[in-house]
Amino acid sequence: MQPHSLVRQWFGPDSPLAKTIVGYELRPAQEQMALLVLEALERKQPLLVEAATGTGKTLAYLLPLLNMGKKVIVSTATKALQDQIVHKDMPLVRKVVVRPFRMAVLKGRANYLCHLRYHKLKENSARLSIKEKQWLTALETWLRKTRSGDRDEWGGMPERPQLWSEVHADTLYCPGRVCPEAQDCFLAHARRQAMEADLVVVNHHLFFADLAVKEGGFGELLPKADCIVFDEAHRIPDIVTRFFGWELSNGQLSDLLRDSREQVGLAGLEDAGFTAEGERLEEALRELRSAFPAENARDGLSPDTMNNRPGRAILQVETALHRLVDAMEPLLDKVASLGPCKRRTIELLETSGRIRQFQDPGRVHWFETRGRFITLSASPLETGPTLRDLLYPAAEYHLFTSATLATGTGDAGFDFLARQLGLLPGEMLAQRLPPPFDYAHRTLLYVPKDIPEPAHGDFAHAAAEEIVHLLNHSKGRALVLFTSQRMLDSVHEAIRDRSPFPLLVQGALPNGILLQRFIEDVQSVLLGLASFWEGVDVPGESLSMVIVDRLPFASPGDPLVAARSRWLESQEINAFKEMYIPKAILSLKQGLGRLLRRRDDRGVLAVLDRRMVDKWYGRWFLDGLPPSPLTRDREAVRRFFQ
Amino acid sequence: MTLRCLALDGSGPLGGVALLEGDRLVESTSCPEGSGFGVTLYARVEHLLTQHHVTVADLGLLTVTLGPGSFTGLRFALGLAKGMALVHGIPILGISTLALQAEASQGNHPWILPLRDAGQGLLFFGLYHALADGLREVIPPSMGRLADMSARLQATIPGETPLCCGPGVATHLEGLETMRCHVPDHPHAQPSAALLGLMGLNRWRHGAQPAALNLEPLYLRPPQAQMQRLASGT
Repeated sequence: MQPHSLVRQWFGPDSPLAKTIVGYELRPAQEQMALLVLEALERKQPLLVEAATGTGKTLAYLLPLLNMGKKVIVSTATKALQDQIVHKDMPLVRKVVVRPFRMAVLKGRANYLCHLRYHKLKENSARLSIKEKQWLTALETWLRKTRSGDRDEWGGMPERPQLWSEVHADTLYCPGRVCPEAQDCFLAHARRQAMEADLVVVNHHLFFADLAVKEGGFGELLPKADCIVFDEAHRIPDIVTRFFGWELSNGQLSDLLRDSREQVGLAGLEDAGFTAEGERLEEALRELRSAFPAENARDGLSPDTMNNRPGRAILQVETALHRLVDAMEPLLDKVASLGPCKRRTIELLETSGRIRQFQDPGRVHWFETRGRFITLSASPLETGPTLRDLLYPAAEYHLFTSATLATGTGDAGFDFLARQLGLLPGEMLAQRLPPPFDYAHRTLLYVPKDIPEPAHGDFAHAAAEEIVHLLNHSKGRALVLFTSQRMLDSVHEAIRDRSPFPLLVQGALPNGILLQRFIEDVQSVLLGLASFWEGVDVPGESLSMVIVDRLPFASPGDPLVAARSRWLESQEINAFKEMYIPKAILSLKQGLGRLLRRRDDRGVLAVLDRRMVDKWYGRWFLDGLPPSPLTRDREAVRRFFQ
Repeated sequence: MTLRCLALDGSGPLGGVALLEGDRLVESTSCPEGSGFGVTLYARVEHLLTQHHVTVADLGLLTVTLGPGSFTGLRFALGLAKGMALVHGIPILGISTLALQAEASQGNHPWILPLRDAGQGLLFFGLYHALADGLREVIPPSMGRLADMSARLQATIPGETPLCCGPGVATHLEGLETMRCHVPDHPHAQPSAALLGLMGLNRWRHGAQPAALNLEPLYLRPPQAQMQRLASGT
């Protein structure tokens, strides 16, 4: 059957879908996406589809893939989307897909309870506090009922995350098939289910952690699939950077020391050599922290750094780790459970050596200090080659989708992301679907013309004035997104006594509670930073205006950004055009995408950065955004809300 | 009167500025990585000239790197050099970054192969022959994959073992080890702006023709679409 006929059969007015959903409306963008999926299957090419909220993406890819009998892995960036697919979309998909299929959700090891570790904790429960014992009792009750051992299914799980870390299925304590509890192992059960399923839902962290493990030649967690679908695919480059990076922190090393001591202690052993080496490592860790700035900082590392105090401190840590391994050696016969700690020590030693010696010129080396913690990292400069080598051979078909993939119109709009995904034009299909909402009539884009540029000293004051006027027009009901804490504080200070609307400020309460209050109190205004630029889903009146203080260019002072910029420049690539601008467009689209979440939503997008219109690159930003009418007159905003 | 020469290198990641009087180096400074060469270049030049009581009009020659190298850095340095050359009528000479690298790395080897990483598995490369009176360019600055480079070397100097040098060596070490070439222990001698000035003076004395208006950065990277085809080998 022709692709058009198939799509009509699945999504048309006489489809099972139309008969199942009350008040079913045809969605042209959804049908277009399903057609693209079929085309990608036919051409065996990776597919990139930008589809806005409300397109019905999940059905647009699942119906073609499952109806064509493909075995599929769907990977999402957030738990919210995973829950939506599993609990909201899946019951519907089951009703309308022509072939029966089995579905499994696979999560990271830390989500599953390990029977062996649970029994160990119970045996040693005498050391626990009263509250911890209560937690253990609640766990016992839940354990009698659960079939999955997945902590997310433990409704009302009491807050004791540190104890959960002592009972989850940590790879370091897993004896594998020889485990006496292997029969009842929750993780093994989840993996078996995944192996047998036609559709497996995972998250990007698990997916890329699994891919990184495969790169190291170790056992894999995920089953083979015909097609891998990445929803929220714009998050992949950051996640890949993290999972394929090398990282060493004093936190990891302290945990290692704590775990090793615990194993020796539980065996009732006292070994002077081991104790002394543990103390030596502690001292080395103190020196490591002192060798870097006392305040919170993030900066690049260079070979020169390694010739000075930081380099000497790292060497001191490595020496202490070597000696700790030697001290563990004679204890292994008596404390078998010390084996995984020894393995971990050796792995950390290798990581430290790789970072210290700058072994890979394709990486940027940097450090971050936060309070008493110090982390040393070596992150890949580009993610494309890694994905090219590992991801594409892993399945026949790859589909990437998100509401923000393209940085402009036409095929070139996908260049930025494609490069990071290791894809070349001509070997992929890419399409930006029209938004399902009526942006032309239901939204207004406002960019003030008399405001100074963000670098100007008066900008914060002028932005605060502008925000006060805008909030009066919208009667509150706004999300104000800032690119820096300083700007948030400054605007908050300036408007707190002038806004008649309740102000909710990031940092004053946990984000979840702030968001809940923002939804409940319709007139409230939420002032937020990076974490509110994505994933905020507030349909309806509570969110009628999104204000962005400035174009969200990445900070050139960030070591990763600076190194990537230098690296691009060295290849004769204009980093501003090819990295800073596309990255900022994607961030801005994410932020402004908070506004329309339902067909009947309407509102104003206000960007208080005149460069968006006045500078040569302003056109690129405007092309990258949905088609809202542009005004530079605040009076038009007032009229819009009237 | 001794010829005063100002040398500007914007090819990055370490940019540099040098002032020479004849063959005597007056001062050479480099901009440490991360300081933003483009931002500090004008201030550095001004500081260097003021420090030594030299005005732009006193300069007899300008030497500047043309690339391949930092997209923005090259434009900044060349833009400044062209501006000074046009206003004060100073002759200006452009030198490729690969020739500069070859000059910095030559020892007893007759064939020198400077390399810079061009990303996506590609390299910037050139080939230079060390003769008694200086280096002669044999393969002009080019961009390609390791296999392309190997084929060109085979065709140009069959049986010879060139000396690899430059920041591209570390990135492509694995591939280079399978080729017929010599990889030294320390392949990346960072060329200084002073060396750039000396090369400029030498060429000027040997009759190199100055240019100003028509001098452009030597960008080897083709437009992105063509680039992708090159990277994929199609």
